[in-house]
Amino acid sequence: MRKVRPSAVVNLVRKELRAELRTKHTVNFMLLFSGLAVAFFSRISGSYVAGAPEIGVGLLWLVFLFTGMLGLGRAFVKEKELGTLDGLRLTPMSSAEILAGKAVYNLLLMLGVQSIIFPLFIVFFDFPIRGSVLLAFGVLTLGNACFVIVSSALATLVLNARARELLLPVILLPVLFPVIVLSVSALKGVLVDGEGFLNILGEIKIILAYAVVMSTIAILTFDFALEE
Amino acid sequence: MHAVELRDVEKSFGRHRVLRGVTLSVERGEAFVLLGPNGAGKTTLIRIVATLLRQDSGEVRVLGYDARKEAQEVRRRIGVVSHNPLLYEELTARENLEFYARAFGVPIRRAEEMLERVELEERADDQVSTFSRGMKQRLSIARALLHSPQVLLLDEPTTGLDIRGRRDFYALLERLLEEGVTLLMTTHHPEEAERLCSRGAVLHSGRVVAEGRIQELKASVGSLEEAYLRATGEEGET
Repeated sequence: MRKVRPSAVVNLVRKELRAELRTKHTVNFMLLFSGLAVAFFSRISGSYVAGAPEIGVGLLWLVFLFTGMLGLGRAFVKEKELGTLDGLRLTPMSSAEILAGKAVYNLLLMLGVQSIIFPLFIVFFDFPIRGSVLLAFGVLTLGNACFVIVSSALATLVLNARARELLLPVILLPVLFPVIVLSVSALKGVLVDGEGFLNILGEIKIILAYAVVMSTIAILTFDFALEE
Repeated sequence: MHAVELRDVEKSFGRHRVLRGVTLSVERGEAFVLLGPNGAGKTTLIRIVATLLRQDSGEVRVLGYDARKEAQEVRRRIGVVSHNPLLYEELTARENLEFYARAFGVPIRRAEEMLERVELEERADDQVSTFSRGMKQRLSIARALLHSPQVLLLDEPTTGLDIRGRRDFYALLERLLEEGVTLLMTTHHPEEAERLCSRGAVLHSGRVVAEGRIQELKASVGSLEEAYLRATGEEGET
């Protein structure tokens, strides 16, 4: 397997960001959707969350999950629909570089959403924080990174399917289930129980291992997945 | 060594056999045309040579490199122009070429050179979404030539171009031929083949049904159009 050249990944990420910042289609929809979801959830279940904050952590992850499903598959689907995926494949960029570029771009999108939604969530739900906010943000970032890797990998696998945008969420949920459970558990540990880094190290290790396994599968299947 | 060489190439999509034992070769520096009706397998063949598809069996070599096993080496040496320009509409012409230049690892100044070559330097900072079809196709040629490929694959490149756009496009291809670039193109239009290509083949239902020098194909029945219709069994249908 060829090594990943950082310059090739940066080139792809820069192209993606430039195109997105010019239209702001994806980021606007993701922010609007996640903001509305937090507002609705807080209105509907705010009083319950005050009594059982672990429910709030689950709701926060649900918001990220649905927001991610809305935007993350677009990075590949758009290229497929416009035909530019062929242009990418015709360059000497390796599968790993293309996947890494797309995953980094998707992660930046999710980090942007997370940076706005996480503080909004704390304010809207009047969430009682017992642990480190920074560590909680780090746990969220790790969970989102794994989410991004899994969704990027699966997005390539469904690219040639007819109802690809409907199919992706259906196969994404079961594959993501372990990551979501572990992320919710780690986040709950930090925010609700006031646990430190060492207490949630087990969850972090499994999430990391899952990300590595999914990345490897994605790279190995990328070329075959793109064949019609 | 041939620029492009195909031996007994077979390709199926499910039960549908698209290519059936295609064997042909393209010499270096020549312009070779693949003629054939819709569904003949022309685009599939070009995509296999371009490493975008894998053949089920048979051998495909580009400048001596195996298109299946040495795809990266092939990609460094070919350029592809299809009816889809493979450009990012939200980006400007310059940004598109700079992105591809970095992806191919060639100096960024090549983007500027290519913009001049296809006479788009005055629109370099305009978004591609504002370009006409002809301008997009010229920019697509610039993209395909950024890394100075030795073989240019053209899949119905003049689809949607008006008369002026076609004329400019042909002139650009003629200049490339003078520079020694090998052209392998597909088209529905015999007049395009006559103007640009020295040799060609007619594909029908995934098989090569006629092959030879354009002049020979023409001489046998009077015109290339007639040769095409006879080879594909379509004469008298229209």
